[in-house]
Amino acid sequence: MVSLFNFIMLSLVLLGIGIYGISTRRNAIRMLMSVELILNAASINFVAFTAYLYPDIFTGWLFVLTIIAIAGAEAAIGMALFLSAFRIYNSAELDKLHLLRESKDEEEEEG
Amino acid sequence: MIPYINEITFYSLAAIVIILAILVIESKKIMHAALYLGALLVTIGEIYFVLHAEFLGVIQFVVYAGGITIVMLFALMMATPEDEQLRFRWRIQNLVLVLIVIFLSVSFFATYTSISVSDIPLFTSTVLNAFASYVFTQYSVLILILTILLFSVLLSSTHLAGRREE
Repeated sequence: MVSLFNFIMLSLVLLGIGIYGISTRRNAIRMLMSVELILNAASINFVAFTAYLYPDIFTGWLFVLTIIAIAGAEAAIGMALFLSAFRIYNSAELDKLHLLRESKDEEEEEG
Repeated sequence: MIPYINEITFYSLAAIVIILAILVIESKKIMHAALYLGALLVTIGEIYFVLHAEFLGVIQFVVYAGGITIVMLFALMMATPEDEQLRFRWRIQNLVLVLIVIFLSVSFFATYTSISVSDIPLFTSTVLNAFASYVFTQYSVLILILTILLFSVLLSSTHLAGRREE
C-alpha cells in the first residue's frame, strides 16, 4: 500500500535536488531548470494531499494550475532575459554577467 | 479514494523521477538537460494520473512537457555556440533510453488498466463540471490575475527578446 508518506518523501527528494542545482550550477538555463524541479515538487505535494486527505475538494488542483501558469511565465521571461544577455556577452554563465551594460561598444571603449 | 497505484509502479516511477532530476542537474550538455527535463515532466504527469488528477495530468503533458520544454529548446537552439549543439548519432544510450520509455509505458498502462473501466472518472462530466464551476465561481479573481500576469509576460518577453533598431 503506497501511503501519503511516500509521495511526500518523493517531493522532498525532488526539492533537495532542485536546491542543490540552484546553489551549485552557474548556468542561467540550468538554474531555471532547477526552479522547475522545485515547483514540480510542490505540485506533487498538492496533488497527493488532495487525493489522500480531501478527495472532494479541488483546492489543491487549483494551486497546481496556478503553479503551471507561473512556471510558464517564469520560463518565458527567463528565456527572454537569457537571449538578450547572450546577445551581449555571448555566454550563459551568470558569473560573467557582472555588468548592467546595454551594449558591447561601451565596454570596448573602456577596455 | 485510494490512488490507482501499487508499490512496484510507485517505486519505479519515483526512481525514474529522481534519476532524471539528477541527470537534469548533472548532464554535461545543456540540450541533454532540457530533454531530460521534458521526460521528467511527463513522468510527473503520470504520477498525477495515478493520484486521480487526470485533468491536471493532461494539462501537465500539454502545457508543461509540451510548451515549456519547447520554449527552452528553442532558446537553446538560438543561443548555443556551434560546437555545443547536438548531433544525433546511434549509440547504445539511445537504445537504453528507448527501452526505458517502453518499460515505463507498459508498467503505467498495466497499472491503469488493471482496474475496471467504470472506476475511472476520466473526463466524466461530473469531475470536470465540478472543477470548472469551482474555478469560475469561487476563484474567478485568481483566473483574472493569472490572465493579467500571462498577458504582461507576453508583452515584456517580446520587448526583452526583440532586437532593437538603433
